[in-house]
Amino acid sequence: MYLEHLEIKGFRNYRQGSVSLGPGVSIIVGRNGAGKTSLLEAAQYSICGKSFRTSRDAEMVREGSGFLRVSAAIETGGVKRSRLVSLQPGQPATVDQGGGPRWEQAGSVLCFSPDDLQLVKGAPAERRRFVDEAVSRRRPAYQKLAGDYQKVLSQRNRFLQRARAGIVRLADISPWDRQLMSLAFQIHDEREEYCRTLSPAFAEAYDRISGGSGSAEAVYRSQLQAHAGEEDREAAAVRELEQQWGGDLERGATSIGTHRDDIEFRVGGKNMRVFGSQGEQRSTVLALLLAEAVTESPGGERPLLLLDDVLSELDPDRRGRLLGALGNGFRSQVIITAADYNLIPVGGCEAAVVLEIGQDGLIRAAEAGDV
Amino acid sequence: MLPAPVEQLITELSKLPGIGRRSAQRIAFHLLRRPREETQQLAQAIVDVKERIRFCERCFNYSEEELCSFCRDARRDQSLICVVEEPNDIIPIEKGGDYRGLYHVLGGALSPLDGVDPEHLRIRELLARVGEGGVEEVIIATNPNTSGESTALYIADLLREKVKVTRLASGLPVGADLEYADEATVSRALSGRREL
Repeated sequence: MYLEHLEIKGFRNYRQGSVSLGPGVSIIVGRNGAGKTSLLEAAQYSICGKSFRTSRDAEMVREGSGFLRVSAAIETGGVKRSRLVSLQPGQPATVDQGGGPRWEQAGSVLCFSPDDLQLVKGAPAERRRFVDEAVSRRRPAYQKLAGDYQKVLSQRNRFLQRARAGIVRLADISPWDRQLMSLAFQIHDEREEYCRTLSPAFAEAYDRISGGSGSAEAVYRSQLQAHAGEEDREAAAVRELEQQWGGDLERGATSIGTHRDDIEFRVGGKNMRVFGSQGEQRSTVLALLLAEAVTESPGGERPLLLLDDVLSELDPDRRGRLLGALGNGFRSQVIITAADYNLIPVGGCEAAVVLEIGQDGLIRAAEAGDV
Repeated sequence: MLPAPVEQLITELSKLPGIGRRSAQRIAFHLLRRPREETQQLAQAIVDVKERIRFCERCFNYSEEELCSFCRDARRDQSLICVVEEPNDIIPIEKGGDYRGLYHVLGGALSPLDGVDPEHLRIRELLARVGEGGVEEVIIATNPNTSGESTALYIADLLREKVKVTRLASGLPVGADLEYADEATVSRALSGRREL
């Protein structure tokens, strides 16, 4: 995915704005409130119809404007198209897709904003969602699988509550147990496979950002792993679940399954969720994003990376190395925002183009003296 | 705005599945325009269906008599029982024309979230039918979703020792283009492929 040109009208604080981008790394500089994040948001919205900042589309329409319009010239798989997306609050967006799909796949644009730190720091559900979304992009049937698992899990939990109330016999839970474990192992295998391919790419990306060597890994943790290598692992897991009936009944919840999975990001043996510093956690998320971008998707098309304000929290060494990692044979187009020229490391990336947002919404190349 | 009887009719019609207030209005005005005999026939048909239709005592299909037409038909294979969730599930199987056995209608599928437990389905009655003897195979044709699957597993457990239990295959619809099949269906068809 290559976003060549973007034009926006009535979007957030933009009355009007436009930018032309190169296929490599672009750094957009502007003071606070100049519209850097909004520009990334407009790029994502025009391509995927989603925003990483809001789920309410109307929020993106400039106050007093009544509508927004974003046109984008993009290239995917060697084909150039222009798209025009318009939105009036209260109505669905209209899309002139220029012969392409109405919306590109969610994975064709990967965003990082400071909030994404939750991926490392937050609850396991955040990490499961990251993996599930990545697996779904590669295998669309996975979505139905995950949906079925959720359904069976809710049915089983409700069954436990009904059994506790004496409405049903606990022994009749067995069909739900078996179906849950059958789906759980299918999910387990997909997640495990994904983490196995992600881990080396994650290690490489982390090294490039941190300057370390080969000690990072993404480790999949699942209760179901206890049954790996057993002859009938599904039956074994069902038996284990049966042994939990008493406790499950008391809690009205299911104690074993892929809904308890987690993914551990380790660096030098340290779990980043618990022991990582702010900077290390930030590097971890960035490394994951980079790893996800290079892990080959079925079409082989590289996603567009939007990195909002990632430089300010990294030390100068890491800033330089991050830009080096993104610029050097990375193949994905990258757009980075920064509040200050000082954040751009000297010589950190010859390949990067630095742009500045002017008062008029025009975004033009920074002058040599600025950098 | 409308006379009370018309309003009442619209209210009743809009309770029907797939009928909203707008469609209900259209139907109500249509009925007002039709001759009296025709509307009388419709009203009578609705009354009749509730008065004359009951459940077959053996298979719980809809029936006018004690036993439904399938259960009364001695030419049908008495050693085969096909288990379905609802009476309307029988229609596509009959249209297929290949099945010559009997049916058993459960009246739903297990779903704790909807308060449907084993005793709400006609499972005990199915066990009794098998217990009477003469049945060689029970084909479970519940829907291929999570509820239908659990129901199938539950019934299979109860019957496995007594009789051969089979489950309908699932996969690609016949006559449809592969291109239009959804990913989950293709995935399932692939895992259930057979050698030629």
